[in-house]
Amino acid sequence: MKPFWVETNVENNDYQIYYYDDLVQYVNTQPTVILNFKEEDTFGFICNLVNAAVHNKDIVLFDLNFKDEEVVNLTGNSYFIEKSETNQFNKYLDLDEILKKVKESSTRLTFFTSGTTGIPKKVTHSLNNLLREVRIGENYSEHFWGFGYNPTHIAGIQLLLQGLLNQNTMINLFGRRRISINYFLDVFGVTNISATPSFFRMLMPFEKDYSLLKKITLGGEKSTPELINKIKEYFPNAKVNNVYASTEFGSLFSSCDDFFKIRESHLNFIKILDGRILVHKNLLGENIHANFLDNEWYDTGDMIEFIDESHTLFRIIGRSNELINVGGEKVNPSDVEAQLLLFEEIKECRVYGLNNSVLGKIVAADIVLYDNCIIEVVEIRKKLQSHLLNFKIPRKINIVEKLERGRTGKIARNL
Amino acid sequence: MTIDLLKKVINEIKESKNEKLIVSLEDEMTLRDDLGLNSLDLAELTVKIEDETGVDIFEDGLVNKVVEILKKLEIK
Repeated sequence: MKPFWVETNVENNDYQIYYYDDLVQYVNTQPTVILNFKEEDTFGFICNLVNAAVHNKDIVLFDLNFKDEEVVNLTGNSYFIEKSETNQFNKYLDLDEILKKVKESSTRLTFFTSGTTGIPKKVTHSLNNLLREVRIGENYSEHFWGFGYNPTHIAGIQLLLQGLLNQNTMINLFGRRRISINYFLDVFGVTNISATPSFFRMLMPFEKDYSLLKKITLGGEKSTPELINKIKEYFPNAKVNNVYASTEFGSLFSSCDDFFKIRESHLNFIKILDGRILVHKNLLGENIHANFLDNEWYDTGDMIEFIDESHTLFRIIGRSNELINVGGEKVNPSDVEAQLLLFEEIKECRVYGLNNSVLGKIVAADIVLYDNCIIEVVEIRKKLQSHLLNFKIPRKINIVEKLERGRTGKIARNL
Repeated sequence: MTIDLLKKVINEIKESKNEKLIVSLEDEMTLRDDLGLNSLDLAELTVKIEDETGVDIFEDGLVNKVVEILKKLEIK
């Protein structure tokens, strides 16, 4: 009986193991698919999703934390559970048959993006589209995944498909306490972790022996060379992979460093304009409401800089709509955050613009220190002088207990 | 806000820039020339004063002298 999903407790180190047999039994006996699942039961959510795929039903993925009023705002409808009866198959499907049906499914999944404005937007992808990034084969068959994403978001679904179609075991680490994550990594001999950079920052300082980990995949946010180096140091046997993806278009490219290269197969569908990444509408999900350049190109707003002369390798340096305009000078909050994170004492930070009657905006920062660390704000300011241009230095620095996070676990930048 | 508190706030800005601190603050001193504050410093000054007093001293436009700041704080 192969374990499929290990559900973990948010408050302590309790867990429950669900097996592939449990999934098979569910699909063969459950007469309905819930088309808009919104409950705390993650394993139930996964079973429902697989069942929907098997029966080619379209479903809407609500974040487990959405309140009913938010659903009304997003959909214009009151939230009620919508179910669809399924035609039962005339034979008992085994796991291979179920997975084959998932691979051939015409199901469409509707997600809600976290966005950078904080207002979720609807995006629909065919399951088929999401499968393009899934790698299936012998090399992937023994992976044990530390699941670091919100399972109702696109990164979570991509990871779920990767694990499911290779019949891997996955353990839910999203939103879990640091002490629990370390415990589970040990007890279960997890080999792969897929999560956001914030997940790893929350896990720091790295204290455990992570030598069993073979692969770390970072995605969903911009990572920094410093974080990647720290991860490489503490996960010495792990290959570190950085994925560029979004709810609008799924995964686009990945790299084992801080810089990316556009794949041959995507060359016709990705272009750079004024330093920003544009994606052809053929790669996008449905329902994307944005201004398309020439009716074809979606502006991601992600800014890049080329690091080689032939302009094939690039680094993502931030988002154009997050730039802080300080008296006409544009500041990329990522640059400032990167400098702040170089301080030994600083565990996490959020850099943002504050309205100001002199300059329009000034740069502000909320920082979280490591336990038992002390540093004076004035000392931070003095040291930043040697690394940042004057207008980039945060003029208001607040030392806080914790940072606001959005639904994906990312630090919320626009509040 | 008293003139002493204003001096303290201005010196916090000076210190974070590794600049020499102000020894005494006079009413007629100008913010830019006498106190050496640039626009970024003034932007910060307004934030600091607003945090202490709830008043945005530059809300109606920039002021030039120490005494003008104090007057704005007295009125509000």
